[in-house]
Amino acid sequence: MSDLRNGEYFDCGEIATADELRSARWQAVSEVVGAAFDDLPFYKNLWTTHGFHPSPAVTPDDFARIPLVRKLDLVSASRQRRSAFSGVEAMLGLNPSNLVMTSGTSGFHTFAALTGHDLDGAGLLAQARELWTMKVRPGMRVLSISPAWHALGLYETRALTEIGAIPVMPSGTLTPRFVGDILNAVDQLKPEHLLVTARAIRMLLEECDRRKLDAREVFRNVRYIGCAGEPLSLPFREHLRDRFELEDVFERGGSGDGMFGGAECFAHRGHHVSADVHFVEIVSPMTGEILGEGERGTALVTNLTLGRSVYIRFDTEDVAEIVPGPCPCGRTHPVVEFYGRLADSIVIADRVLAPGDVRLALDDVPATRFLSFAMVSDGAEGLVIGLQGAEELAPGELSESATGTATRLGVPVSIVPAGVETTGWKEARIKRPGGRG
Amino acid sequence: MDPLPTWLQAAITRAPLYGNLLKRGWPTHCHEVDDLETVATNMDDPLGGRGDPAQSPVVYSQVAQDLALYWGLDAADLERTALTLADSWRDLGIQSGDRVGFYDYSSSPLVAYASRAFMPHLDRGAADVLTCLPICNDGLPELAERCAHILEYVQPSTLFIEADAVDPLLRVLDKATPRPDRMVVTADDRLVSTDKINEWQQTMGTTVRQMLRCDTALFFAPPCAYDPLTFHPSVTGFRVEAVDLDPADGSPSPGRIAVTNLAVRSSVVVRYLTSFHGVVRSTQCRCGRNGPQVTIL
Repeated sequence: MSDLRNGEYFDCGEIATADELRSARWQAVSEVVGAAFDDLPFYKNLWTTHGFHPSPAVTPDDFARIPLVRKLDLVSASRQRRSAFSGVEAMLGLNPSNLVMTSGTSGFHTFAALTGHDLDGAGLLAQARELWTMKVRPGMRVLSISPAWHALGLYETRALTEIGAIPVMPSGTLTPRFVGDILNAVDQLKPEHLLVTARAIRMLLEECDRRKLDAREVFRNVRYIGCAGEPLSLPFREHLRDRFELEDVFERGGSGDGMFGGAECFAHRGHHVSADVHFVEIVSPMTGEILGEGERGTALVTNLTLGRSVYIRFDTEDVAEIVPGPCPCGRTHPVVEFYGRLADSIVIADRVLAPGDVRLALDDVPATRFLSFAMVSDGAEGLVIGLQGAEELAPGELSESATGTATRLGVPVSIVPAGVETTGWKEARIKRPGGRG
Repeated sequence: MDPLPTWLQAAITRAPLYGNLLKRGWPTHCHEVDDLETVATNMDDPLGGRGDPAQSPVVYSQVAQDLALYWGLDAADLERTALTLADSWRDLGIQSGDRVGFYDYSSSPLVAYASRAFMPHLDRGAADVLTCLPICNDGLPELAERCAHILEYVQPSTLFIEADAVDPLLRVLDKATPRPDRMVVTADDRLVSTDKINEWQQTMGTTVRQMLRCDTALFFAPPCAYDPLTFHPSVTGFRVEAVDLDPADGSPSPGRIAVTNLAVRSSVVVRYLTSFHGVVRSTQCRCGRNGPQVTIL
């Protein structure tokens, strides 16, 4: 990792050839799968039940026979043991240093364990690459509110340290209650980079407006924003660049389940995922078939290192695709584009329409740009979008947006007024009733 | 009292706040939050004049919610503060191998200094020092169910909880939810009444203790095992005085509790006046501890 400090753009692993990555991947897969079968009760039980016994050298064909792990499998294991330890903890004989948990999208917060081996090793490497890709640099003031309950927050803490950035940390968390504190920190301490969520950015803009502040003045030192939480449309990015006079806006993020993530580079094609730390596959949510580059399905992740809770062929239930072709930035690791949660998506005519698709389509039309929405129903007639503030739009604007959205999505679309209490689809998901947190 | 350490005397001469204090007959260097805000405004200094220009902070963190003041701290400050927190944990009875839960924001000093994975540039947090296993909820009251979930599945022996989160948690707990061995309540710059602590203890069915905490001085102290209103601040981390602000009164104590922070040097905290009134004694406490003891009145 030391080469990150001296201004190198890449570490050597990021530009490995496809052959090198493939070879290293299957070697790591063999080690992880072998260790899981030998030492981890969850996998031993699951695989034995499904008649899978790994060979010492796992081939791609072997690997494809490994049964998928779903969130509910982990929930069930945790419930049966009544323990945060569900049997996926590959601690290498070390004591766990931290426990983290997921946001609970399946109605149950699962837990994961980390060790110093991972926090100083592969987990750190992947996160440091992510921050570096987004232009976080040594000595740079970076606003960060990394939650201490989330694995990616812990990795972010260590990666900021490793890079030698100077974190700026407001009180609280990324919710409306603390938006004043966040804005004050931006104004007073003048960070060059913000690591936040899209929702937080919207809150900050609203707070500037409420205080009648010139956002360009408040954000005068901010050059970059790294946004997690939801896909960013091109109009939204341009809006942020204009309002804050930014050099660039990066989409980032990943999954607390599976504990992996990545960020866009300047090419904005999708998230660079470290292929020597995590192996991402895309499968059809309908058939389980492994899909090729450019095909949309749900992302499976396999962690390629131990010293942490290990996820093997874990279905993140995130709608995603691997973006084909080389990236102009020069990194050789796969670029994965994420569109949103499968549970929030709608399947019409065998097509998975994710909230991110709707967001991108609505933002293409000025009248519906950035308005909150909900995907209300999936009737046979097509997609119905409930749009906050739709009643204030002229009939022509509404029909223009519906037509544009339908063209972009390739399905019939109708837009109806709806009371959407939150500021985006991500928050609507988080606040869904019934204990889904 | 003993003179201030040499390094601190030198730091006072550099930190702008202390040259700007022209107090109303107060003891030397005594100040409160208004002084920090005044210097912050007049000098356009987010550190409120407490920054030592001879040091190079590696982290800036907000002093307290709704207060536009910040700490500028270097790695040694972070480590000393974490060691001070580890001392508090030991006093509370937390041991190696314990699981420690938090129902508070990750920006709270009592959380942030608990793990090197919570605070950038921190080499060892209190949990790392004591080899404990920390897990953090967030601090929002609406996340009480998630804290109950932690109690059920992680079964921490100690739960640190911000005072405002206790009632929301109690509302969602059922009888079958495992209780921690101890629940440690904290509130910034205020104490929860003993009656309330006792009520929580009865409802919770577990030991409930309270720490003394003042974020504006980056100060915390664990409670005495015998007297819930007496606290034992770390002698290496803090120097604590009861400052009588009325010279006509004549009696040296009780007074307002003033904190000098010996753990942080990049930001200089000398005689910060907390809102607590009390007495500071240096005789042996009946719990057996030596060193300063703060009894809040």
